[in-house]
Amino acid sequence: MKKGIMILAALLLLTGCGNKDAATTSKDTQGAAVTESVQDITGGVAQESEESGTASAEGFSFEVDGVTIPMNVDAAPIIEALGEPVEYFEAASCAFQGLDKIYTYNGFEINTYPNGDKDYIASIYFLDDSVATDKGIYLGSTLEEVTAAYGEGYTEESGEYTYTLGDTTLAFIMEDDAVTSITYTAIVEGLNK
Amino acid sequence: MKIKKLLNRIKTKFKKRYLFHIMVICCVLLILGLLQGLLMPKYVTSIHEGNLIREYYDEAKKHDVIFIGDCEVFSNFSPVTLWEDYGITSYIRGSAQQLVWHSYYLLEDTLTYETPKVVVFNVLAMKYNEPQKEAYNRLTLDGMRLSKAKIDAINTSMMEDEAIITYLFPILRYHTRWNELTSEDFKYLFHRDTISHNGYLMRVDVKPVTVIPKGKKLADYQFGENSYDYLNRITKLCKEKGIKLILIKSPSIYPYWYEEWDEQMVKYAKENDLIYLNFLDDVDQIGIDYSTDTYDAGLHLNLSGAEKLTDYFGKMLTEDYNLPDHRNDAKYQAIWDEKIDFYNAMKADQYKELEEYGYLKSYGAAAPDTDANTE
Repeated sequence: MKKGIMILAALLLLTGCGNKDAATTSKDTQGAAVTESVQDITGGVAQESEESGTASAEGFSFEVDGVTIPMNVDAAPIIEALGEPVEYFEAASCAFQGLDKIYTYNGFEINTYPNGDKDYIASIYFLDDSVATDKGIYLGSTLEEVTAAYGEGYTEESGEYTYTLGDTTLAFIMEDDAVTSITYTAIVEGLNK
Repeated sequence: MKIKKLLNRIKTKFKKRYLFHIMVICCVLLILGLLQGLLMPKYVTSIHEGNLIREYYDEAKKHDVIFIGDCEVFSNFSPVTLWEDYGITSYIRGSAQQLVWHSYYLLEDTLTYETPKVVVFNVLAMKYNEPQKEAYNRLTLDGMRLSKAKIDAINTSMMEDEAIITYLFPILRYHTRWNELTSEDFKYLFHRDTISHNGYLMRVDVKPVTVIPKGKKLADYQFGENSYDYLNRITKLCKEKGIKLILIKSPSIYPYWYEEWDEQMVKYAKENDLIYLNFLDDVDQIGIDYSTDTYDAGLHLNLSGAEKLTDYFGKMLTEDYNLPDHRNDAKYQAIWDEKIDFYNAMKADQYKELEEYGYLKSYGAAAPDTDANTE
């Protein structure tokens, strides 16, 4: 009996102990605790970038007009550097508390996801062949050019060739040996499938 | 004689000790139960969607129509309008990002309480073939009453790093909220105010559509096997119970609904002898004006849009499915009069709040300044 009571007491004590993952997701559910839930969602990358004020080196990033755009970083300074978008759309996020935002620029669009009081880069999608990846791949490139640039370390599904680096992916959809879609994406639970 | 006395004394002592131990165990369980109630999120002042599934159990279970699906049902259809205009009784068992298997198990759960004449399933969730996020599992599953359907739903929905025990004993999941408790957690420990209107989450504010985002190119437009498996189960369950299943796509313009997805649903409906209604094709007939009938630029309809869509759909239900008009039935009247009062009171309160603060402060809307973009 004493054992039983001790077990129950231990259970009670457990109610006060810390389980970081559980805590952060419950905060995420309740829409609070920015820093911790950012760490929870991005594995610390976003917070690190925010602290250092530089982009994360652990992943693919897109460069345009001298602005480097990594995934999973605070979107505000990037949007400010890029200037007024051609189009802007926002809607309540299906995966997070807050708004998903889409900034459309000439040749590409940026999607962000909310976390606490900030927005983070979720994906970049090419709209035409006026922009290219850092290794010169654009809409219309061939598979040979893609593999020459990014190697053979891809996964292929239904004609989509996906490279993974850190917490990001770079995906090329091929049709008739031509790239018809290029997307940089942040690997974040709830965003990618 | 002495031995008998001794035995009696031992018996009494054991009885007392036994009783004492039972009392201790009961007290500990009671404390744990209270702690669990205290630590679980209440979803009253924000993230109202978290209460939708739970509220159904307090309801009188006499519904002709049950809606299942994601935000495109709980924001876009108004059961009170369906009652007022056609005398049809309905309930929305909707929840945020409700996936197809969530919908199936919620239907199983619902059918243990009642058998509606019609079930309406919104097909947007077909795009998700796998569980997406724990937080959204919680918004649907935590509100379900313990049942076989709930356990099956948990097993099907869990992400890799989740454990079923944390759904059965949520204190194991939420125990670290102890340092985030607010007055809301104490206030709603034993009782929560009803926030929905038979599962409908009302919003009267307006945010017009200014841009319609284009769909990104996908490598594969085919819905996944898992999605089809659970859609098949929904279809089979409805057929077994003699329920008419209607597949719908709500007229929300975002997330993008691809033509390739639509074709699959048309084909599925044809093969399974079902009706599939894509309301995006009927926007003009419904009378939806995206400059006034949405509160978040096209993702969800506001009250005005939901009432228009419901009225349009109600006419179809009455004419094509011969659903009875209960408006002259006294048994229903008393129940629905109360619901109408609550509906109108909330409507008036939301308009008042809009006027006072410029946004729906108490109803989950973001303040205009936090909503602003970089422009």
